[in-house]
Amino acid sequence: MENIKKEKNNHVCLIISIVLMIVVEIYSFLVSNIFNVFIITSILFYFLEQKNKKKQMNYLIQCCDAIIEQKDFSIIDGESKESLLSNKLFLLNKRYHQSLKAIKKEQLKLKDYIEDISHQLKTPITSIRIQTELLLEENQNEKLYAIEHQIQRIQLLVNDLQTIALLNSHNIQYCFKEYDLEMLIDEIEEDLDYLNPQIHLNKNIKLLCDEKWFIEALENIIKNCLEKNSTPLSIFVYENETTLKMIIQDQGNGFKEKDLPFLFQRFYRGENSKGTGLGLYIAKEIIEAHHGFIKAYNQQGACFEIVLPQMKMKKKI
Amino acid sequence: MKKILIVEDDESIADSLKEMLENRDYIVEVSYSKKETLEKLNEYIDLILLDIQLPDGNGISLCKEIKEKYEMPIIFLSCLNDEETIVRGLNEGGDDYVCKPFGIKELCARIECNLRKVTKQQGVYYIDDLIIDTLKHKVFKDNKELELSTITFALLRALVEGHGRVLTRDYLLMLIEDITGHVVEDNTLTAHLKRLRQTLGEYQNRKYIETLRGVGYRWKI
Repeated sequence: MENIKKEKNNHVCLIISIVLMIVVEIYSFLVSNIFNVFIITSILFYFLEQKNKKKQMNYLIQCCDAIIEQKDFSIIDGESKESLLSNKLFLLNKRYHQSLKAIKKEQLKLKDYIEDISHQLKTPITSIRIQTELLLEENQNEKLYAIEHQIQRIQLLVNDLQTIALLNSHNIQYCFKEYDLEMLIDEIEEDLDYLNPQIHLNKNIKLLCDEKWFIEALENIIKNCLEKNSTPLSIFVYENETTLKMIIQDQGNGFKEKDLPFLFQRFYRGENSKGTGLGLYIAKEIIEAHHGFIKAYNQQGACFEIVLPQMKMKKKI
Repeated sequence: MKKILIVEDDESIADSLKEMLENRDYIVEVSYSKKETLEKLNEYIDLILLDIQLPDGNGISLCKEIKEKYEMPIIFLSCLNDEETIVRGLNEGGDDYVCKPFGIKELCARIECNLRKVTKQQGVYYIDDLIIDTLKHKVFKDNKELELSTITFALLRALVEGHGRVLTRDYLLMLIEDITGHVVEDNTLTAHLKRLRQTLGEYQNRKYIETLRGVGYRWKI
């Protein structure tokens, strides 16, 4: 009996001593490598943090996309910091869209005002014009010619102002389609027939634009050149993957240096200019609405350079 | 002497137009509203000048109503340069349009254009220096034959038969589609018109066909 007890005791002692040894081993391992352990746990924590941050970032990006595309997004429930952020973003989205709506409403109102005003103006102008012409039929009075001339000026101004107001109200529904540049230029040549245009295009390309507005912009520029000096015009087109460049060049004396900085300003008219001073301003607004830009300089004549993005590349305008 | 009805709610414009037309030997009636117009139509009228914006109704729907019973040409007087409205007006039966403010010369030219009836003898049109034979599908300019495709011939015929009437892009596109049998792109119309113009050339330094951007085309007599 005593032998079995002794054996049992021995077994227990053995187990206890093995366990103790292991513990001591681990302890001494840890103590001697505490620095390494520290680093490993830090790295583990770091990776966990990054994963968490990435998740939060993705959520934020999703919210931003939803705001841009005017969709709804879901809020994170709970009391965490993420939940608080999520609620704030939701409110922000709501406010942003409310103000967008208010702006659109104002712009529509503005467009209506413009239409009303131009309608109101056109009626008396028509009346005055006809009566003046009738008077001139009876009596070729110099003063009557002067009145007729001023009425024509008012008419041009009203038309141009109507165009500008429309452009500035950002309410135009542009209709972008592909057109042959050659055909657009043909139409411009027809409109400006009375100025005897000679326009030479170096290369025909397909252009994505709103026909009506783009023709108006080009026409204003070409008219500007032709009214100053009646020389042939060359249009050079250069294309690459991202941009389309158009240079319209005449063979005249070019711009006066003092005019260059103000060419595209509203109502700026150079000397001896018969126009309203709005043609180039309107052209610039239209080109910018096509996401391009325009500049002018002298190079063997007056040059207008228009740069447009290749719209085929853009997915969203 | 031709009788013209002016439908315009602004008295000043209506009265000066009346004076202008009477100076040119037209007989003129004036009405200031839709209701008055329908009453005036009991007498024979050769042409109507119709303001699109009337106090008691819309000029375009009035035009449609008139065209249901009568055939005289209707020229819209429009304050809006808005092509949509103009095209709508033309599609509802309007023949031509003038934008305010207009001058006497311009309006009178449009009136003369729309009153002029193109002489047609046994399917052959004689206009300016052109002879258009609709039966044999031949066109002669200065007695020299011109080469035209089926489509360009159809376009020429439509424009000449319209004699000054504005043909909208939609109308001309449908014309081409009837011939080709399938849907046609917008640009195709422009291309055909260009070819037609190139073939016709000019008459006394003027072009035969006028482009009204965003709206359509008309024969420029």
